[in-house]
Amino acid sequence: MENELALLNNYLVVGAMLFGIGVIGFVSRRNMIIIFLAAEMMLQGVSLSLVAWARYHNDFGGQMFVVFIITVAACEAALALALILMLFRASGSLDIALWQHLREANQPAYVDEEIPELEVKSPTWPRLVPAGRQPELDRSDTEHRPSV
Amino acid sequence: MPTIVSIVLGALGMWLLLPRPSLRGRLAGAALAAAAAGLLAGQLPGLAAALDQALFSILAAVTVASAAAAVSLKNPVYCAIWFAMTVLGTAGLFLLQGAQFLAVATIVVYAGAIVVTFLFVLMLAEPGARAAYDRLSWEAMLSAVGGAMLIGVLSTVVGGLLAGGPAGAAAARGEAELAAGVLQDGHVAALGRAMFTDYWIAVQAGGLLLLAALVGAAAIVSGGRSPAAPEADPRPPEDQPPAEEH
Amino acid sequence: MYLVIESLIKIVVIIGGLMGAAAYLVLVERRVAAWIQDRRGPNRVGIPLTEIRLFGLGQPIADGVKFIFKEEFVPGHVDRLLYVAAPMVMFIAAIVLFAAIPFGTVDLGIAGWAPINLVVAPGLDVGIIYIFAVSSIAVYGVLLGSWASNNKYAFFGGVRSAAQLISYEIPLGVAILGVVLATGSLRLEAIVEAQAATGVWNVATQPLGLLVFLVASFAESGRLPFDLAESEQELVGGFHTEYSGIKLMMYLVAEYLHMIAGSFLIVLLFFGGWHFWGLTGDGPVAGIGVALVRIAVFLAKVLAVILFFMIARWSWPRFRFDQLMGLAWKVMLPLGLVNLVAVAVWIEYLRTPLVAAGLPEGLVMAVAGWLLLGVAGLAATAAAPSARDNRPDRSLVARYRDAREAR
Repeated sequence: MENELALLNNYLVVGAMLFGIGVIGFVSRRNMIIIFLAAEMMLQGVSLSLVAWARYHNDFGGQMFVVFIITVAACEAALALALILMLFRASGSLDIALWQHLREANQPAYVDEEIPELEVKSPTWPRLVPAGRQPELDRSDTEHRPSV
Repeated sequence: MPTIVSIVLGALGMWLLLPRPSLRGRLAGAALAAAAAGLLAGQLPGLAAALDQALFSILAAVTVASAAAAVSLKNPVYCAIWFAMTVLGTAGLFLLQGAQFLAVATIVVYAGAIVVTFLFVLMLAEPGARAAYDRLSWEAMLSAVGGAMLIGVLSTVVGGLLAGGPAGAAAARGEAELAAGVLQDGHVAALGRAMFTDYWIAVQAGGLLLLAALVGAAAIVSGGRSPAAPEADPRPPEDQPPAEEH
Repeated sequence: MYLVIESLIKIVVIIGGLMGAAAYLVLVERRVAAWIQDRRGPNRVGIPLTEIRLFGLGQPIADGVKFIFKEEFVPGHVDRLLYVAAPMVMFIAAIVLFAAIPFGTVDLGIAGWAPINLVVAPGLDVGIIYIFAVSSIAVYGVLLGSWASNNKYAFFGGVRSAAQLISYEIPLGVAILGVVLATGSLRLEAIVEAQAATGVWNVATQPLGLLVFLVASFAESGRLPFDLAESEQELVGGFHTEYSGIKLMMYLVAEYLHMIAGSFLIVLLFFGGWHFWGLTGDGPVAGIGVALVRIAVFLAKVLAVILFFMIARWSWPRFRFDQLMGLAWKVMLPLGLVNLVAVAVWIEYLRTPLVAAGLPEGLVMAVAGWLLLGVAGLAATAAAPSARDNRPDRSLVARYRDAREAR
């Protein structure tokens, strides 16, 4: 039935999309933890493809691989967070651009050209229901005018 | 028989819904009409496959949308939460393919432990969305174009969108085995059997890896403090002798 | 198609029963607390709009109406989306947990109808891990709600509560693994049927597992003696300081649902579920009468465990946070692992020879299990530092002060 095959293609495409979005996030974000989140997303995409192939070939090898990927992801998370913690202690911020001196020798440094303005929303004060009696309105005064 | 029941319920529901002198029973009418529509839709022949596709479409859309949100929002806590949503979507997709154990294992490990640890670190270390480095990204245009091209290449080559790709050529294989239901019995038993007979080396290696990561993470975070630090006075400060003037 | 109708009916029954149970268990808790404290509980609110005091049975209705009619405001300084979403996450996780709890299998005797599994999700092969997974999602509700409150002290309480929840998930899992190993299946129906078939409940053969699971359940629901995160005397409300109205009601109801779910699991895993010698049958499928008796027995056992939870709240003082974490990692986890290893050794090496030698397996396992409990308890008591000195470690204070002055 081509339903099943279509499902396999769909799962592979979804896995590829997750992987691609992970690559985009990994390469372009500056917050160390978001970079790591994107790496984990790449692993999710790969896991999805592996499970799809495992189902297609009716073989548990793919699922076993994904169990191993989950294990590796957990270990990687622990170690990466430990390293990020040390970097945060040394530099005081989670910005990875502060560690640019570790780049290759012939690369130019990255400098922030323009930092977008932080939009400060004026605080919205809560509107309280008015308590007490309504003031007496002179009805005749308000009804003769076209607008108040 | 269900068709007759659905027709009766549908008539009753529509009668209650249509404008009448008294407005009572609108809610009951809506509920009855929905139930009738559901019953009638259950009589459609191709519904099982259509439901499967619909469920897959919803889950896939949620997963991809959450992934896109997770890498593009300014507030990193929101990014982590949308990543947790992505993980839930992926777990749902695993469940839809019959990998129940992987689905719940993904939720337990990823959404329940890894993302929670991320959230701890983010909440304790982040100044919200006010940091400059969260509002900027490196080479946004290049990375987006490159990532999109990567997705396209992967989809066409691996996904077989082109005719004659590797997945397309294997259409003749018997897919009767795949018709096994999503919640087949004995899945965990079969997976466990495979795990401890064919792949037991991987299981042992995984255990060793976890041990190494545990020791390594503890060593990295507590490293730097020399073990020969002099023991400070354990008495509470008010009991200690007063510090001498320097 | 009939599966959909059947599932819908089960969902409605479970959700309705849970909401009613959560409401009335609050009343039961207040009466039990009053009984322990030598006073009466709420006993005046009976039938609404009359003077009839029906032993205070109208109190939950009054409380619910009060919560619903409270002004629903969102403070100006909070993160709106997360503030509103966090209680919902915790509430949803608490309810979805009940999709895998089995009440038995009933054969209505109508020709052509298969026996009905009284579970919302009948075919789930990973039953107990599903419950474990959903209770890990509940951590989000606490963490996000406390962070969204934009309040240092609420956040502090939330971080403590989240750390407690994730620390006690591990002893919970290890205790569950002991039962799963002994039974050979992850499905809750199979665990109950295994206990019913031999007649020996898991409390007799794995009391150490029961102890670890009980302590971990107390901690996972945030009940005393583990409720430092929302201790009413110290931090004003912990992670739910900034909440009021229906959102607060969702948090409190979710906490009660976690307690109820923990009780259900304790009864299912260790106390035989719906099985009672002589009253209910031994087989998995039952007729309608026996099925009703089974449900009644199950609910009676769950109510007994819930009463134990409530009495325990007023019997022991609260743990300090470092004591709480030390208990999880240094006492409960090793005990759970010892239990797991003992069960594994039993199943692999000792079961077959002893059964072949003709000894009653249940009796030998019971003796071995309770001996293990005694030995482990003595070892933990001898090794625990609380036997010597319970005060917090003040040497850290001096060390940090020196480090700060040296900088």
